Amino acid sequence: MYIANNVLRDRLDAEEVFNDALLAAWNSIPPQNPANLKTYLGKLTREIAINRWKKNKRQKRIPSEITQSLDEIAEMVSGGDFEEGLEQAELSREISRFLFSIDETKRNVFIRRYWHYDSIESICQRYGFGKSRVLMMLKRTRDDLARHLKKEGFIT
Amino acid sequence: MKEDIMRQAIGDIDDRLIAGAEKQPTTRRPGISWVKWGSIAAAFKLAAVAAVACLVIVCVFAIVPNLRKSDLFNGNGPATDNTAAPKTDDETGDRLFSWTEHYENVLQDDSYCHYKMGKHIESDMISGKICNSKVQGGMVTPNGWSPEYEFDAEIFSISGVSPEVAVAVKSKTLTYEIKDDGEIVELIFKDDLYVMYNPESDLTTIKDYIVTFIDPNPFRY
Repeated sequence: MYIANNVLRDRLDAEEVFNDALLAAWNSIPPQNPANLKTYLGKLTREIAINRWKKNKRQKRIPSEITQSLDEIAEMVSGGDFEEGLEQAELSREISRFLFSIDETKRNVFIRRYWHYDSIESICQRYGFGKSRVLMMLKRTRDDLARHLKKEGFIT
Repeated sequence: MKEDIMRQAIGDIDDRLIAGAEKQPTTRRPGISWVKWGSIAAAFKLAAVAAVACLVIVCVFAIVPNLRKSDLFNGNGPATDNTAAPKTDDETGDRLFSWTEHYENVLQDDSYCHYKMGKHIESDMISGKICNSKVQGGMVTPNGWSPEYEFDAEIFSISGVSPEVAVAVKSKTLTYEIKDDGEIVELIFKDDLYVMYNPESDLTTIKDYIVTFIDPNPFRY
């Protein structure tokens, strides 16, 4: 529910999205058999929330934390293009491989920001860090990930 | 769009990563441990002693007006003064201030390596180039300072100010950019011309360029 709220910043929309995610989970299991139900539900919620956000954005409704996060992600890939024919699953696996290879705290801060769409302030509170430290940590991880994807040939 | 591809790819990362980020961190958290009442009582006693000590220091400054603020600090960290909060944004310049965490540049030149970082200065205030050098920058925390980045730098003299008191440095520096909505900031490197001053000297001629730190709000701009 907090993922939907982070994305939409509107309680009613977030509740609707969460209910949609529960329904989607109900309809998809089986045949899906997720090992971690909480994470599976989180992924469904995230995608449905983002689609709702896109719809709200077209209707020029209230912006959210996702706006700034997308700007930061855009900066990460601004220096090149993705390899032609790249499959998203392959890119996800490579990003996962990269995240597993870095320090746990940096990894979790990155995921809280770009998967959960937590605000910078919320991340500061969660980890007890100052704002400048969180911003620097995120910038470094983004730069390192961009370099890693270029080196592995995912970005040309 | 490229960022959509990236966003979706991040959305499908390994479940174990997501589960890991869901766990409450065991690292440093702000707040008080309500279990250790003895430590709390000791902390209150220490705070009371510190408050009396501060009162004595303030009285000393009131009695001895010529005492230099830089005399207070003899360690390796940047010289700081948090006794007076700036009144306007102009007084803080373009740096983000925090008593506990902020970025500092250090010149990699034997003559100026002990100089401390001041505020931005306009180019019409400089009179001539002294030399080329490098700066290293990093975050100052209660645990000290360590360099995180290095850039080329040019050192200039400031009109009417001896280089033994202060110089102007042109280099990239880390700063914050406030977005239009006033809420979101972005960390960026940008070219800047700023003062570096000798904390051991008489700072009267460049008092307007001394950084004043206010505590504890790290978001003051």
